[in-house]
Amino acid sequence: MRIFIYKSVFVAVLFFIVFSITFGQVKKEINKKVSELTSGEYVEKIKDEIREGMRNAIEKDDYINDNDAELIRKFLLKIESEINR
Amino acid sequence: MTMFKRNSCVYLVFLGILITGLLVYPDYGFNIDEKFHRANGFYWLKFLANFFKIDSLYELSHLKLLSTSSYSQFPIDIHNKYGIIFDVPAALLEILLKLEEPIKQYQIRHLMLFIYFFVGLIFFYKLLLNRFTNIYISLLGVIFFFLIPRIFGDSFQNYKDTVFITFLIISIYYYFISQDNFNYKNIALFALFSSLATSTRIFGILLPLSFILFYFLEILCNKKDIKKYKKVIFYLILYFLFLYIQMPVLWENTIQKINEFFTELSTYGSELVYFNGDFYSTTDLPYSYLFIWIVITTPVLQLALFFIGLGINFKNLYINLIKIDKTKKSVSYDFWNNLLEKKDFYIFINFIIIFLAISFLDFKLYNSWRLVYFLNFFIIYIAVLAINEIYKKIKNNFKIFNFLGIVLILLIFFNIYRLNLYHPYQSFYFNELLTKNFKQKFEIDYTGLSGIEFLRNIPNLEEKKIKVAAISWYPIWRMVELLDERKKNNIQILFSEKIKEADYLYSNRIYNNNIKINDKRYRIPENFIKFKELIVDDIIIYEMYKRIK
Repeated sequence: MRIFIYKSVFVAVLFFIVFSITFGQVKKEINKKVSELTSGEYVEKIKDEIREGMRNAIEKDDYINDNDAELIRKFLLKIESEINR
Repeated sequence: MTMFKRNSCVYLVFLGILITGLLVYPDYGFNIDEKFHRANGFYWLKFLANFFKIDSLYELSHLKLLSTSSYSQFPIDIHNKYGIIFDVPAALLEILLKLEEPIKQYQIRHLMLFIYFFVGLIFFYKLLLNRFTNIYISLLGVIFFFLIPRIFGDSFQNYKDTVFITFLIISIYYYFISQDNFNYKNIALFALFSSLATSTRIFGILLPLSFILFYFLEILCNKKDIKKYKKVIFYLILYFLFLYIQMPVLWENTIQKINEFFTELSTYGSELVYFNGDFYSTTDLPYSYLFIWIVITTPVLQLALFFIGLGINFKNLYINLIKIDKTKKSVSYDFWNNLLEKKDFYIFINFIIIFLAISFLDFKLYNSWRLVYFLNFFIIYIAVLAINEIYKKIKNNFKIFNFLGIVLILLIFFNIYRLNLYHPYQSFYFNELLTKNFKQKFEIDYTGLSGIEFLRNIPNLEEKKIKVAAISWYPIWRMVELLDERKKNNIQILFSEKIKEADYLYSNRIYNNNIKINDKRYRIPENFIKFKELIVDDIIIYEMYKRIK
């Protein structure tokens, strides 16, 4: 009986450790990534990057190429016409 | 060697330790928790004075308690579930000695804490002597323990962890004594000290748990041991009774207070910790967290001996496991053959269980591995076991014995040199295994010990008004009262947006948000330059910035 108890405890501990350093480790890494992406600091960082992108856009003479400009213009006109219909 | 000479050796070592402590205790900085513990002491002293109807003491402790209030501190009447075994005697001593000068009020606590630690060292010596029956090996163990820099540094200012280590050592000493002589007196003493350890830190619960575990292991091998149940129950009753007596917070609404205690546990401490060059949530640390901290902050000598000792323990466990079937039950137990082996196994298995539980069960850890510094006791015991085994093997070979003896002495002196190099910041020690770059990847002054040194080093503070702010996570205003009167009056602390107007900025490089993602809050304003920094062993303890425009 006691040998069965020792073996059970040993196997349970070993299983737990192996589980932790394999699946548990992956879970930890995912948790860390998710908590970073949802943190207030990360949101601030994204806002800063958007602001920076907008500033760059204002400073450039040609921010978008002619083809894209034409496409966006047509798209906006299309939207406008549908809204006013 | 005569008994006299042997005893002289013991007295000499302990006298040396005591004198060292008495000489250096005023040098230490002030831990951010100290103000809270002072308030905790007066809060419970006031409660006890009221309970026992000592009016004069009630009045005095009430006034003292009012003087400790601070807006940035945990409200003491809510966060009042800390042990009182250090804080209340310290508060009483402050009243008895009529200490009015703030710096003296804290320095007396530093001295008192060291005395607690010193008592712990005496019991550590007694414990090792009980196991190894060799004065020199036991003394060596005491020296090893005393020379662990982080323990040495914390023995002057880290109230909770140092007091816990002391009571843990005393408890385990009485556990050993109770194994030699399983009588009611020894069990009662074990119950008393294990309850004192538990009231200081919840980790003390491991003492009754391991006591029960070992009783269970005994009856698994030897059914006759079941007769000891009366003494086991006696221990548990006394343990809970003592715990109840020394925690006044449990005297009313006991169940509710216990629930609150466990709920509040998760709210203490930082949310993030800087470890190995990255920020982690304190409840979701890497599994290697504790192992890495042990390896990088334990002196190489103690660390090497510890690993040898661990190897010996694993070997003994393996030998005992493979011969379980062959063992005659009436002669011995499965995991030990005699009391000495039982004591070694007790230390070994406790260390392994605690280490695995903390590493793999997502315990909340912060401030390096401060919360589990008590593991150093197990580490040194296992290291001493290694020394004992090595000694047994080489004692008849004088050449090897002398050679290893000289190596050991040289390494101890090297340890002392390193301890001195860090003074008074031994609490932030890293061993020689780390490169300069790697040392920058860990948090250092998490308790703000350098705050007072920064304030003292502000130029011209005696002559003129100076504005100061912190650019890291640190309540620097708590240290202002420790300055002398003139400097205190000349200092003004600025906060948030106003920090740009400060004359000097302080940084202990500790942050409560992830500065790697966005460091806006802790960015040094452009009108400041680095004016001074304190570097010890390639570690930046604190930085001082000066406004240039």
